[in-house]
Amino acid sequence: MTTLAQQPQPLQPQASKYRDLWKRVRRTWQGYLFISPAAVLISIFSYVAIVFSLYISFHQYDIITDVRPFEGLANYSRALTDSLVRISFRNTFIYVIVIVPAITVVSLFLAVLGNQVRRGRALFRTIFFIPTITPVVVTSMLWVWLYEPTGGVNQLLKLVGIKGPNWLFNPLTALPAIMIMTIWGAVGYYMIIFLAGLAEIPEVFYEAAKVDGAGRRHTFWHITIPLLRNSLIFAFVTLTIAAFQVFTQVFIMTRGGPMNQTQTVQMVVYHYAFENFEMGYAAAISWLLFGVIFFFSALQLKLFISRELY
Amino acid sequence: MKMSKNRVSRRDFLRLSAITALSSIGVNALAACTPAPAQSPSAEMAGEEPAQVRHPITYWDWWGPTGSAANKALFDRLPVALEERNPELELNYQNVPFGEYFRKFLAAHAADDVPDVMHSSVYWARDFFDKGALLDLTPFIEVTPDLAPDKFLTGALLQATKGPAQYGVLGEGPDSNQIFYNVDLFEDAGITTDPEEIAQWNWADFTEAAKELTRRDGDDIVQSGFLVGTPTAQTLSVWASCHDAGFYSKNDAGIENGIGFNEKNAAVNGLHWFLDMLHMDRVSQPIAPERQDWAQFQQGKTAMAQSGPWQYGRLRADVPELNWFTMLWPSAPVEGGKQGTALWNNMLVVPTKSKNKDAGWSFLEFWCGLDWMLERFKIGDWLAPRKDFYDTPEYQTKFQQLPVLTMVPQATSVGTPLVYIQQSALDAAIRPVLEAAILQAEEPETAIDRLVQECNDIMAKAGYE
Repeated sequence: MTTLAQQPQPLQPQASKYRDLWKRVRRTWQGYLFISPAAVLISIFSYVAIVFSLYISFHQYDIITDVRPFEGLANYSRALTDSLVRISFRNTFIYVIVIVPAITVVSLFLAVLGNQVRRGRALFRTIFFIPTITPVVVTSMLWVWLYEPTGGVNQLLKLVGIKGPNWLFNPLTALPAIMIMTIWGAVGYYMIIFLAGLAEIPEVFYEAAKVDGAGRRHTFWHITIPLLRNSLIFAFVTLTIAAFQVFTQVFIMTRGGPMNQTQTVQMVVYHYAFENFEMGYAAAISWLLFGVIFFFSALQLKLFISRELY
Repeated sequence: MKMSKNRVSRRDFLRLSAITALSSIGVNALAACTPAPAQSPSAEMAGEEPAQVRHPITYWDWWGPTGSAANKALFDRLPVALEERNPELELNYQNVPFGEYFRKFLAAHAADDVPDVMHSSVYWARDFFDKGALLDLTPFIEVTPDLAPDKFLTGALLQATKGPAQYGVLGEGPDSNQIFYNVDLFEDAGITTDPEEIAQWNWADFTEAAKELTRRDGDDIVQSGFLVGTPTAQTLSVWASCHDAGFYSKNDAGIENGIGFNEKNAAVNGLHWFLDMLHMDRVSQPIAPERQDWAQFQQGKTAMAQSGPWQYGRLRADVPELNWFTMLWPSAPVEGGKQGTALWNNMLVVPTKSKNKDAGWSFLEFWCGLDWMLERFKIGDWLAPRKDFYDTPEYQTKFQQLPVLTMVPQATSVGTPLVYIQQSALDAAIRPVLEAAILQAEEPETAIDRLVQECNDIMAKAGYE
């Protein structure tokens, strides 16, 4: 009896586990079925593609040729010594270093300003948000015309007696010109993010500060900024990722020129993959870029996220 | 209570929806896997002799029915004309934009889903052939006298052959880089407009004319004599041609073995010429990425601008009042210098993975034959690369109305083939170096030395050394 009573004991939890699982599946299978088309598509076109790009980064791969020898880390070591890759990383870093703080500061300024506007608030927000909903290709073309030697920007400068440069064909001004256009296009979106963040700050903090005699500057630095921390982290991380991947505006406005001064990493990846047939090498550069983005995103999260909750 | 018994619960509703969605997906998937039902014979065909078996033929082209009335007319006529001459072929025409053509073909090749025959730019054809993606058409050509090499303009086939192999048959063109000039502005400036005299110019004569034609308002150029652009691979071909050299060097077997565009110092001389016109003689507006050169020519804001024969018809249609003619590039001021240009002849090719090569060849025979070329000429003034085309009454009549047509075969006889091996890689290497030279950030001599080295490396990597 004892033996019979003891024998089923180890099976009991296992059977119960299966029963629970089956119960859960019966209860939720419709949900899984509904997400399955999206899951299949994302798996094929994102995750399988990502894994495949890692695989080809270790091979000589050009799509057409059937012979695709394994090359180990050769593509990666070549990227580290390739002057075009080096130039592109340099330009991309400069772009990131300027763009991320500039967009954050300008959009925060606009958000604080917009938060104080009492009349015409919707118009104010709409005006700054329009560039965000306009495709980058369109805004890039628009700015190419504005940057013409006889275009709008130089005509404005001429009004104040300044002879404007040949913006997009001057190695010193081409990258800054693209940055200005990007800042103009992105501030609207981040302004809305900050406005949402500002709306969540309880008024009581400002009232308490006012009672304590705090001035505007103190209130901004000691109440607004700390309580906007989540929005700021979001802005910093997403901006950094997007800035490292800059492509469209460069492709449209300068194609990397003049003299490779606006060549970015994504442009170089495109060049090697779709102009030189070197898919394996382009994939290796992409993975290096992924490593850089991953490092900086992790670093930002580590630096900004603390245990304190507001 | 009765109502609540009949009410469908949320869970039941979800279950029902999921089952419905699943069944409809399944039914659609099954339907997609089933062979398409055969088309029923039309009433006219019924009772007549058995219908002829028609081979569907997939044809890719970046030419399409949009853009102009002539284009539409051409592509309306194409399936009809094909059926008249080749009733056994059923055309499946697919338009692929030029900018996506190269990548689309790569993907199609990888997926074993290539067209049976396609229009190919000279930019890609040799690279695809070298990688085994295009068929050597020599066996087909040997049994088709109408498409024998001697049927085409001398020199036009250079970009469709590699040694004894021929991978393309010329289906359009010949295209070349020509300088369009505004006859009225020339006459106002007291410069000859006689094509015979202009054909004797060298670079110095050209610069003098450009200077005479330039108009300024203070420091600003309001009318350019000639619009100097950033030099490209095409410009290097032009400069080489004016020195009687080629873009590539060749070995004794006629196979390309490196870069030749700086033979006789052609590229260095060319750069100095452009730099002088741009910075010293100031005959041109500054270079800018989106400078609208062609629009400026149409508006009379520049006396000379470069373009090609494809603009003849459009220019006549868009600005009929403009009085214009074209010239080839003047000869370089060196021993053996001659008029020159860059030329190219895009072609029809048959991919190696084509599932229907014979039908592909039949379409190619139709497209590259004289009859279809004459029809195209009638529809939209498209010229042709065949010799016999220039002897036809249709061409002769048109030539009387439009004497500039004579520039097309002239260009073919003196030009240098445009870059056609490793075009995109060479272009990417060439652009920043020539930009550095034109921006005076690097001496022309140093820049060209570096460029030749880089380009030779690219050629060697592609197996041409």
